[in-house]
Amino acid sequence: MRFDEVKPGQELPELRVALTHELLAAYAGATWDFHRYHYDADFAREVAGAPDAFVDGQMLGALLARQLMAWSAPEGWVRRLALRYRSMSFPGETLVFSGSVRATRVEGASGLTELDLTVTALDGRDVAVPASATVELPATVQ
Amino acid sequence: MSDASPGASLLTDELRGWIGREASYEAPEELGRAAIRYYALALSDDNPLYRDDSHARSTRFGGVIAPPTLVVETNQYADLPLRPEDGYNGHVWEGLPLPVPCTLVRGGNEYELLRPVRPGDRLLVRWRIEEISERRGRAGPLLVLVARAEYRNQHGELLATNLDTTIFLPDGGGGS
Repeated sequence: MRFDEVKPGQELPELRVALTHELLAAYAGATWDFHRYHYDADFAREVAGAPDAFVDGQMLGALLARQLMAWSAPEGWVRRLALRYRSMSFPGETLVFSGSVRATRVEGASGLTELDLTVTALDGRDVAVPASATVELPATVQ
Repeated sequence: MSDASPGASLLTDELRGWIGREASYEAPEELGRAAIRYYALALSDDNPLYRDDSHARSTRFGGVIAPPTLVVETNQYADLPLRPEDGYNGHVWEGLPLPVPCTLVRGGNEYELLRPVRPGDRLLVRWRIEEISERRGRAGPLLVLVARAEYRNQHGELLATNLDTTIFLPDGGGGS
C-alpha cells in the first residue's frame, strides 16, 4: 500500500480468526503469560465463572496490528492503537476484525492514516469496540 | 484510613495515595530474532518483516523488526516467577489497598508505538499509576485504575507508551 492510494471511506480487508485452545496457548507461551485462565477451562469456570479458557485482551490488539501491517505492507507501521474491551471471547468462536479509513494527513515525511476499527464475535457481540489506529506510511514515493 | 462499610466511597485516601507509584522491570538480555519469530508464529502472522532479513532490508525498516505490539507484552522481560495459585507471572501493584475484595477486568489499552523494536534491543519498562477513580457501573460503584507504561531500550530510546485501564469490580454486586 502506498499513502497516495489511501482514501477516506476505504474498507480494510476483513480478518476472521477462529479461536482455538491451540491459538490461546500459543499466544500465552509467546508472551510468557502462564495464567491458567488462558488454557485451563476448569480453572476459568471455577475462578472466573467463564464457560471456557478465555482470550487475553491484548491478543486482540496484536491481531489488529497483524491486519493493519498486512494492509499497509511493506512500508506501513502501526503508530497508535487504542481499544476498549467489551466482552470475553472463547475457543470455538470466530472473531471478525473490521475497519475503515476515517482520515488521512501529512506530517513532515509521514503520511498518517486514521482508521476506525471493531472486533466483534460472529454472533454480533462487541468484543473490542470502539478501537482505532494510526498507520504511518512514507508520504512521498521514493 | 480505609472504610469498607456499605455506602462508603471505594476511593479511600489510602488508595488515592497510590497515584504516582512506579514499578520498573528490565530484560536481562537482548530480545533476539527467535522471540520475534515465536510471537509472529503465535499470531499466524507470515509477514516477512518479522523473519526475513533480506526482505526487511529492502524496506525502510532496514532489517528484521518485531510486530508492533510485542513490546507491550512485558511478562517476557519482567522476568517474574510464576504465582502458584494461578500461574500468573506478570506485573501487579502488590499491596494495592482495595477497600473491598474485587475482581479485576481489563478495560482498554492505548498504545503509541513510536519506533519498531529490533532484535538487538534490550527492553525496559517503567509503569506509573496515573489515576484512580470511582465510577458508577451498571450494578453499582467500581474503581478504574489508569496506569501508563514507557518502554525503552538499553540506549534510552523511547520505543512505545501504553495507557492501560483496569477495572476493579467489587465482588458480589459491582459494575457490569
